Amino acid sequence: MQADVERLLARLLTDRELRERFIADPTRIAIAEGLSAEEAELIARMPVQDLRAAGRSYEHKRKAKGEVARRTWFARWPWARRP
Amino acid sequence: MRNDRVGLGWRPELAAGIFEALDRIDVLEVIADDHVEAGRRDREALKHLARRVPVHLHGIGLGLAGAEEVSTKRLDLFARLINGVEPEAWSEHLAFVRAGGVEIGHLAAAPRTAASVAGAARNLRKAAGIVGTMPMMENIATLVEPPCSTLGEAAWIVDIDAASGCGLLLDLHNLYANATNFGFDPLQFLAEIPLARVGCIHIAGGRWVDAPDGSRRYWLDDHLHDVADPVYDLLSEVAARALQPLTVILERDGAYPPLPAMLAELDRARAALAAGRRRRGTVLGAAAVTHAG
Repeated sequence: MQADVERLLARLLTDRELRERFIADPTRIAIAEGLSAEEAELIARMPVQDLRAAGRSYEHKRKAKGEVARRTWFARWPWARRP
Repeated sequence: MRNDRVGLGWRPELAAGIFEALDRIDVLEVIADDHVEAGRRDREALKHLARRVPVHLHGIGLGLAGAEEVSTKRLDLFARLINGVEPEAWSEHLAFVRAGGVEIGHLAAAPRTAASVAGAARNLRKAAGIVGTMPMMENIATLVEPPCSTLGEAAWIVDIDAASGCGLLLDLHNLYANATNFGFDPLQFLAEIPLARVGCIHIAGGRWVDAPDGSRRYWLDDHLHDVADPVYDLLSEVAARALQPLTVILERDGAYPPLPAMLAELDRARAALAAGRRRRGTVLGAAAVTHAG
């Protein structure tokens, strides 16, 4: 099911240890995570270097998001003052 | 008929400069998620800004293209913000951001299947029902092709637009990055999606990064660099093919250059649009000949 594939994909993009276990034995891990045999076979075809690169990129993005407090209140700015 | 417009993603670091340069910025895009829980004063300030310059609110955390049903509570927050600010438009991404209790922390490409088309359409109808208007939906960049996909990216986008009526936010840097990393022709992608449904365009920059094992390189959509030259070429191409007025937003998320340099990028985008508009007659004429043949 779509939801099962998305759940495993979400974990592979956020959990480095699971990602490396998956890369070592993708079909077994996918089935253990609830995917059908057909889905497991398809997800096992993901290029290893792409998955690792994506995982690293998400780690950087989560770290950057934690460091940058984007929210600043508009009320501080001159344009917020009523004319 | 409205003219093409070029604007900027509002970021706190740029705020003072933006205020001084509003005569050169046609439209602003504000990250909605940064303000959904803001107090009344902040929402009113944002509304005041939206009365001075057209504002688009851009969501990044709803996860509308996932299998999971989008949270009513999140949509209620968006509805409160959007109805309070009254932006010209709002938008989100063709992505999922959480699944099975796991928060990914960023946009991820869902497997492109009939099931995800149906899930996205369901979520978009729910969003439109609660917020009151349908968002434009943006194509995302990804470093890994979503597994178990049965549709190509363009076909998937076409199907979601057709099933929901969402309209499109075409991110040309995401298109360029995916085309570069996965070896497809971005012009063919533009030929396959309904350009008439594009209500807004993003442009941005990125950089090359190596795979962790050094086996290949990827073009990374990092929003930390000047707009890549091929993105301006794609912008010209869209302007040559599309009939409707286009709204272009420059996205930058860090390593900010002085604002005059960013304003120069806006001017370059205007020039790219103008060049495309001049070519439009030629392109349409060629297309007519091809169809006739």
